[in-house]
Amino acid sequence: MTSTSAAPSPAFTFSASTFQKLHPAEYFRKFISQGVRPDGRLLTGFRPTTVHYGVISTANGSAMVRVGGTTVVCGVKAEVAEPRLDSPDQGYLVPNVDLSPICSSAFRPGPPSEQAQVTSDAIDRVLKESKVLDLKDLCIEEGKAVWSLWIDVVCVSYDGNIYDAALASVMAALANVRIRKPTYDEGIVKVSGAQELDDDNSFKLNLNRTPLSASFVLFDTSLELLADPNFAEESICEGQISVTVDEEGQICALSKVGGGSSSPSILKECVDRAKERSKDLRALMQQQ
Amino acid sequence: MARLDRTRTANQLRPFFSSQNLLNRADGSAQFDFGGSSVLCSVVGPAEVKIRDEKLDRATIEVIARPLVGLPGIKDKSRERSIRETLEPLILSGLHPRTGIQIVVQTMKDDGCILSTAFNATVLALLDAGIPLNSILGSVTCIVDEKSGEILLDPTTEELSQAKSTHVFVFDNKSSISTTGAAAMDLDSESSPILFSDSTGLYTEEEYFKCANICHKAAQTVHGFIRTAVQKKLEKEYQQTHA
Amino acid sequence: MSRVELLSPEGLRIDGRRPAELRKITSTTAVLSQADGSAYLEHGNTKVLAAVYGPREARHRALVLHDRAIINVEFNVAPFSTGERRRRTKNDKRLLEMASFVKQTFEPVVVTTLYARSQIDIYLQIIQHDGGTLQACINAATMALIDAGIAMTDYVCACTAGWVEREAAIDLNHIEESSDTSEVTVAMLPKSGKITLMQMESRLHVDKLEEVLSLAGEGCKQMHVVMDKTIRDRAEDLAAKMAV
Repeated sequence: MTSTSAAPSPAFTFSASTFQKLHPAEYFRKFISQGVRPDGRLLTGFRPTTVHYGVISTANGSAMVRVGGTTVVCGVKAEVAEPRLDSPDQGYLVPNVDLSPICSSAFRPGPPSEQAQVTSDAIDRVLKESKVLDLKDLCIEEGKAVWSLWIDVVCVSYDGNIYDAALASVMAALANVRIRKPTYDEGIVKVSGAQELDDDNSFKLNLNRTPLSASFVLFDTSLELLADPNFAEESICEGQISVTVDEEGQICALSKVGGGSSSPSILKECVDRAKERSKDLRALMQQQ
Repeated sequence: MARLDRTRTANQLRPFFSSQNLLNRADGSAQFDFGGSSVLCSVVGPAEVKIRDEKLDRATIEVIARPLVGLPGIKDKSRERSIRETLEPLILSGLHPRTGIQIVVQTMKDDGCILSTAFNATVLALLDAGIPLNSILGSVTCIVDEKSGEILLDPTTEELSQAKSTHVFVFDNKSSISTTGAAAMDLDSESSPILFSDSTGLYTEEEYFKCANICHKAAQTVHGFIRTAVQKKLEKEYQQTHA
Repeated sequence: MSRVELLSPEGLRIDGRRPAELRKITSTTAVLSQADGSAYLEHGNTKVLAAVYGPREARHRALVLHDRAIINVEFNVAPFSTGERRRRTKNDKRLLEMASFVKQTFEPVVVTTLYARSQIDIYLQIIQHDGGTLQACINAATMALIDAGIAMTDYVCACTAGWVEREAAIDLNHIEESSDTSEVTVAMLPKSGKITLMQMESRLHVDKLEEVLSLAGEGCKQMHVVMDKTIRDRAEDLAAKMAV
């Protein structure tokens, strides 16, 4: 009877990148168990963020926001429109998020993806229901002419967490908006053609609040909370929690979707972290 | 304070109504009403799915939401995503790999709280279709009134227009209500794990968790109603087949 | 309404340039983390972003060629890029036409036979539009292709030229384009001097054609110098980092 004396050799050995492709969840778990993520961040860490104002000179207001590898450009254009019959002194705010194939190979050409539409809807609800702007400020002539602000967010590079980047860019762009002061004369709206815009011939928007958000994902059936997910993390994680807060610490939106049930304590943790994050982000935006 | 419709208190839901097995061509269907809001849901599955959508180890769940009037827009896409992501962990999709389950949610009447009504209709339709679930869910909406600051359950469209904040919650029936009143506000007690939450408007953290607790208690009523509805349907079916 | 004076008596154009002067050009490569190659190009106020994905698996099996790669070009015009907001759908005829120009421009230059049965996608995002978008897109696409490491026989440098009032001028801005000037876009391979695209929609007298074309050729050579410098700087930068 033979006896095996040699030690059993490992069945397979992989390089780290092969292992990541074959077992993405296992690869991830190995990092999470040590309290870090593959890109070196702590579980609660947000990626480096930059904000630049006034990047588009053809727009009334614009901003570019980078959160890690996700880059979005937001342009706001003001156009004259007729107000609705039931709200004759209110203007319009029309946000739209565009996720096209240029920003990632994950998006196919064609009509807007579900993710783009969901993000547009989320931003729309924050703007309307938290009353970021009093729509009456956009009135030119009651019942005849109002300003319609088209807020277009174009993603040029997508690496997860489009909502946070898009919302920050919308807020930054709105703060950057300058609209020429109009005069209304017998059905025609006139603006001055002066090249330089100053406080006499133009006005800035009066924002009631600046809601900013922090998004998280849940890994391994709601046990681990990861802040500011990148694309790889979004693909393998199940649940998403987003909290949007304003400067006074009031919550403007809270959404928890997917990933099974979460205890209220996890949501409370998200709210606390979101308040910290929005403070940091606000300080960053103030510097410009 | 009396509410706008003068018949309810702040903590009262509108009368429920539900009906199952309405559609001939669907595997399961159900209609659920919260007072004047009504949503019809149909479920087809497990059925064949396009190869590019096929998942090797589980069923692919697709949700289509249709509005009351007009073409579907971004709000409907949002509803689709909410329903799909919430139901995915509940449906035992591993039992039906490489198939598809298609859920269509059609708004029939709109008097507020359409998302909650849709969630409840979907669960009834899934049960009607015999899709295995590891728990049922119940959804309610509440608002914080602009003027009075009161929390009102199950608001109508009129009440929603005067809301300072709107909160939609979905709870599963795995947890039970904590019996002591103090623990109802205790966040550490894991007493009311939330399956889905979508809140917009302007509110504080305290208001949010208060709404969560109130909605949790109301969701128990919805769970009870779903149970009763399915029970009655099964009794009737049994009588018909064994008569 | 008084006519805008496009060329002053001293021979200066509306933005203060000389007729044979290009606008201020800023270019950077490798700006996008997700794309295989990318470039950002500014011609004065025209800002264009190009992203190249590929060679990768073709989206439609039916279009695959057994011995070469297919090149797919898509334009995306941001709604805030023009003077008045205009939502251009993907199927806008003008954009499809420009996309097919860019595709035809690059097909003979990219060595597609090296990448059989695959697809090279070139996505062009117009962020701000102030005239000369086609030339900016071709230049940005060239740099993005080089950044992606896709084999090409030469650079493709493009430049617009036209007849502004009394003189031939290059790199026309939006005001010059929209007024009554003739404008031709030329894309050239600098090494051989061969022209791979010549596009004109307005009327130009045949006597003036030679002057305009030779000026455009000069403009392309200037573009080549700028683009080459950007590419070489980036390559040196990468080499220095890798040597460490």
